[in-house]
Amino acid sequence: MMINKKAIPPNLAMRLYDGITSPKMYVITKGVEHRVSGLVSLSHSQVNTRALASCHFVVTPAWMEEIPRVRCDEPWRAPEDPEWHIDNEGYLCAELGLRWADEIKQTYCQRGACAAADYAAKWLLNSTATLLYRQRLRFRGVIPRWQNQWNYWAHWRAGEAEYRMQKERA
Amino acid sequence: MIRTVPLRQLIESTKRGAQYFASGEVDSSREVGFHIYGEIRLSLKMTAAEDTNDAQRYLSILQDYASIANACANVAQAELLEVQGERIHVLMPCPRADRSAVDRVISFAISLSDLVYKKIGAKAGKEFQGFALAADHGEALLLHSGNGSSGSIISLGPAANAPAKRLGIAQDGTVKTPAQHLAMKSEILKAIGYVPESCEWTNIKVMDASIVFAHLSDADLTTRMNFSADDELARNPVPQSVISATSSYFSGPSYSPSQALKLSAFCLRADLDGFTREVQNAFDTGHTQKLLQRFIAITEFAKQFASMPDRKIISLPWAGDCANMIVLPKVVGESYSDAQMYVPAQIPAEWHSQVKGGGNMPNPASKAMGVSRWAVACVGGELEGESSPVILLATLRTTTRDFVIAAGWSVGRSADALEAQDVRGCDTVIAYEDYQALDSTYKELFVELDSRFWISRDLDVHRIKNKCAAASVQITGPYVPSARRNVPDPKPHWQHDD
Repeated sequence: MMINKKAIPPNLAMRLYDGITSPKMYVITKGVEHRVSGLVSLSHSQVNTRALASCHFVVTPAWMEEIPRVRCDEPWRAPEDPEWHIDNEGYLCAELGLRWADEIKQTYCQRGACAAADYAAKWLLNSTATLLYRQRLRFRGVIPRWQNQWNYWAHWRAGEAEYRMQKERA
Repeated sequence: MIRTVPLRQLIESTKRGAQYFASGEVDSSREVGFHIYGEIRLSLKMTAAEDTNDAQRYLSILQDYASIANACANVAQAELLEVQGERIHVLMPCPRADRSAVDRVISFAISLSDLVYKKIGAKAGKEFQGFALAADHGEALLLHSGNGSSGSIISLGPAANAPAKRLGIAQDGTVKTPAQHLAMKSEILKAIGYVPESCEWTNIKVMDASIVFAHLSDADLTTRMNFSADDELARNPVPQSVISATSSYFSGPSYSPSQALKLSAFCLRADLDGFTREVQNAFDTGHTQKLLQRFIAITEFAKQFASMPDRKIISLPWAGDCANMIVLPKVVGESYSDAQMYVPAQIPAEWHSQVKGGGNMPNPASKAMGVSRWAVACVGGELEGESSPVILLATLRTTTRDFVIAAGWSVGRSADALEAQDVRGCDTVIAYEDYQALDSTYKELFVELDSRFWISRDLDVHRIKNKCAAASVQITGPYVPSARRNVPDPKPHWQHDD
């Protein structure tokens, strides 16, 4: 089933907006990009924390194929470094784009656009929170290096190859 | 180098303008006498003053209190050893705890209480909640490492330690020694023919002294102490002006110890559990020099700990074998609230790890520890509420000596934490208020000790690291009802544009 782009409202940005904490902002730029800024709770998995991170999400109309870009401007954020999954422009590499597109498409085909947006928002916020909390542990001095038990894709193009191989095996 | 000097010379070296010691030089003195601790009790509005005017008033009260204590000690031929905010420590040298010596101590307590109630009570008004004392007799090692540190003298030994604990809070939250009372070891009172309460300590009422002790109220002593105190107060330097400061205050060139600072920070207190027994053993075996050398190595460890590269830690004068420090949030990227989520657990863990020779900054001082072990408490407090994290850091200036002090809710609470029942070496104790603010992963390392404190046995950096790393692992992400599936486990990658 192909994604009918005209039929999809740009509702991921609104769900991200609903999922973050004030002070927050929603701006539509050039009628195309939906920019959401606010505080993301860093609670995730078995971690319950009051910690928040100021983040900016850029959601394009093609969010089902292109993972939204996420930026965190907190002073404690890790520097641009492959080990901590921050690209050269300071964006978080919270998930592999290829996997994102596959998973969202699958959800859209099975449950529709609203479910896909719910799913995308929850996924992006959870991955962002997890990555930033680990960076916060680095800042605190608890964990100076990325831990082996924390899953990650091989870097750059090798990550896509790893994903394809994993998909084929499945 | 450790020099053995008479007590008078030791006191002289603490005076303002005395010659600075070279690094590593320490004066020590071995004295027998009564160690008398006094504690004024003020309302939380004063001790945890967030308002600068209240803080200024609090500082002025403490300065007067230190001056009164200094003057009264001089009149009573005693020495003011320490000023630790609301607590003072006086040594009255005397070889035996005989009737005459005990009478002198009680007379001193009656006269000092009278003056404190009159002068501090009048100045603090309704914020004044009383004054209490505790005293014990015995031998102690006294140390000072030059006037570059503070006017306070470190005293080691059971008799110098016990009265300070006696002024603390009991398990049920009540004070062990009520206001208007002097606590003394019951066996000392028995020796002078008084039949005390059937427990280790007896509280004697010294304000409006009971009929048993009324004859020890010495009007002449009180008058002389009053004159001397008035004279000292009249010559008191103007108290420092209090300003609010954050971590960044210390990173610039503007830091000046001449200012009193109001800081939202944590009070770290590390108690060398078992060391007092070692001091007693050293007295019994005559190996006090070796013990002093070990203690100096331990103080060096504390100094090194305080020199963390990314965090400001302010060392305060030792209280006996307890190291005291103020731990500030990091200069960049951290508010007090941010720090409260982990600092009360992590900084003590860092301490314990460094003692073991691990941690982020290896420290070789563990050899000096002997059989003693550190119990560490780190207390902050709530930004909103009575248990404020505001600490007043100041220098109390009497006519001849300067005493660096820290005061605030967390300062008292951290001392209470280490006095709580079942706290021993290798323990980490935090306040209930700080436990509530911790991340869940840190919380899981603690168990409830009592209604005020939570405790972790054998906490170190590795345990925190392992716990945090494991807690952040996800096999599957959260469930999304509308999609009827869980989101994938977080799996970041890295890329860059060509």
